[in-house]
Amino acid sequence: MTANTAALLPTAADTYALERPPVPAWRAFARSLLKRKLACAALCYIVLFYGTAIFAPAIAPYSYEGSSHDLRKENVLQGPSWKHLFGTDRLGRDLFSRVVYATRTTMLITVATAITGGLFLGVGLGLLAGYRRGIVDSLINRLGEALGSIPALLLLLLLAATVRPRIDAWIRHAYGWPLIGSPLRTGIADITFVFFALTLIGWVDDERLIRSQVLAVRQQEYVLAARSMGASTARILWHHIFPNIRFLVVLGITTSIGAIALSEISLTFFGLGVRAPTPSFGDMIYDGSGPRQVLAHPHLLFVPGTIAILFFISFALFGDALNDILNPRTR
Amino acid sequence: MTGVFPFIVRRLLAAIPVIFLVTVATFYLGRYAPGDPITARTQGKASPETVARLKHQLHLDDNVAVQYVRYMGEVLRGDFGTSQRHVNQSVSSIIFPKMWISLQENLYPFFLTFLIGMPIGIYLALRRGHWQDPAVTTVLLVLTAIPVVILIPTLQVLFAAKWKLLPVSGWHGIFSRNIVLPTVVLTVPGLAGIARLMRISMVQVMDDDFVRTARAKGLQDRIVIMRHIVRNALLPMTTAIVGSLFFLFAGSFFVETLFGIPGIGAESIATIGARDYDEIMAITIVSTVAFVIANMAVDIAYTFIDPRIRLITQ
Repeated sequence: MTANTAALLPTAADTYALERPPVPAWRAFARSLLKRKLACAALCYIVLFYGTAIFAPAIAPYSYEGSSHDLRKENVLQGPSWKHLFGTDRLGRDLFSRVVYATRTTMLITVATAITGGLFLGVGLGLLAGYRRGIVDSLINRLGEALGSIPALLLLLLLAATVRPRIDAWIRHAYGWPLIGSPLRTGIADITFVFFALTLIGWVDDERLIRSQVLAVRQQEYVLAARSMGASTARILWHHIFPNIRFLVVLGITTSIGAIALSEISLTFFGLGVRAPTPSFGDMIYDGSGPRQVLAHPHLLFVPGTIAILFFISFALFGDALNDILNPRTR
Repeated sequence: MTGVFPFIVRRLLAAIPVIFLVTVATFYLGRYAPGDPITARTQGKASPETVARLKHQLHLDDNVAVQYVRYMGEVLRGDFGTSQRHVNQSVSSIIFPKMWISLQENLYPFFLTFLIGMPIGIYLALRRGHWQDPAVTTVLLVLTAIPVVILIPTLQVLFAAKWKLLPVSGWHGIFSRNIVLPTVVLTVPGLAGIARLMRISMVQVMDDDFVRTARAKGLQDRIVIMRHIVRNALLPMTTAIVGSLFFLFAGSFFVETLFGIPGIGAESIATIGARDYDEIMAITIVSTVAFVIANMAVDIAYTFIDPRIRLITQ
């Protein structure tokens, strides 16, 4: 070996360069996210929104329920002022407090439905269908197809109009019960019903996505190798399959939150979702809509409307950015 | 194309259990609800005997399964039952004219979404990497994110009440000014979706080998490459068109309710509230069948249109 070619041999420095640890996934993700200023703004709004929801009792100056004091003429339908930041509504209730508590309603419904319907049901059933195949797969597919064939809003309305009155009657019986009586009276039953209904139809899309990805992954050689080595199903699922569907889970949950919130607002708008006095954006928007109302008291529509619009826009932008970052096909 | 016909038959057979499941579920839901059409209509003003007699006449006191079988038998013979709300009118005579109205309402948006959306998608794909791409995409995303319930009253106030350019609501056919606002509200979301779809498929085609070959041949970039790229990018678009065709008669709940359009969307809401079982079932069955057929049609259309798939199935 001459002096020239010796310079081409790998040196100690090269070896160390190869062994330098890769950038941790979180760091790379955070960097990609920070590059997208609009998505960061969206994330900030989302955090603000959910933060308000969590600390609602501390932030809202008044209660969301009306009182007889509010119904006095001078308090009703006021515009924004120092006393009532967002004004008051038809019953004299402070709009700012109502909006703050409405974010709480939205938070409860979106988080509960997204986690149960999206995470547990959607991912769980998707894993089951994709990995087990066979009759379990067929059953789940049929069920998903049937549920997906009915127009979602129609099904929700149908459920709300048919099953719900029975649940209501049953719950009213339980108002007097010692332990669960008082939490029931706070309107948690309404929220629970909306949560059940939305979860019922919400899992279909996520399940389909997860299932197709699981189908793709389980044919990879490393999975076959693990199976031939006798790895248990649990280990394969957790160690091999789940890391490859993680991004889909995140994406699925983010995109579905917007849809869930919209469904809740639609349901409440038609009077079939969360009901008074539990505050909700759908309720407030319904109060404010109607051209005459908007002309006379625009703040009734535009204040909750703007906050809701920003919510949806933020989730749309954030979901889009997440998709760009996480989806291996678009990287 | 011997492979296509068994495919169609298989899909049809697979659709039957789905439709069965859906109809059974809806039927049971309807019957499980408290109240029934008789009670809702008489509002307690009729004596219990009258109510019982009417219920017996309508077979509402039979076993639910028996009612279901009887109902499906009538449906298959084309009879959707008689409405309770609009006395003595058959359900078919109510819902089909309303579907016709919804169809007219969706006609302009259908054409506009594709006629405007596709060029926008093409433009975005060509401007990939420039500032126009993310800017327009973001604007479209933002526009789609605005819920219809908020958008409609705002537009109504601006264009109708304040500037007095257009009527607030009402339905006078597709050649009146009433159609403008609903068309706008219905077109924008679809437009964003189509633009996105077009852009994605254009981008996928642009990276293909034959495009590089065409460029290497020295063909004029703008005209001929557009012909090559766009032609191939249209494939997913055709499935979108076929898919949307079947939903033309499905009316949007919000648009119809807030604009006072007497279409099938507004009717659905009214009939669910009034517990008119026959009508509810009819609307659900028609919607579900349409959805299932739409899916089937999309699958079949793609088989026909994509020459690669056609060749493979032969």
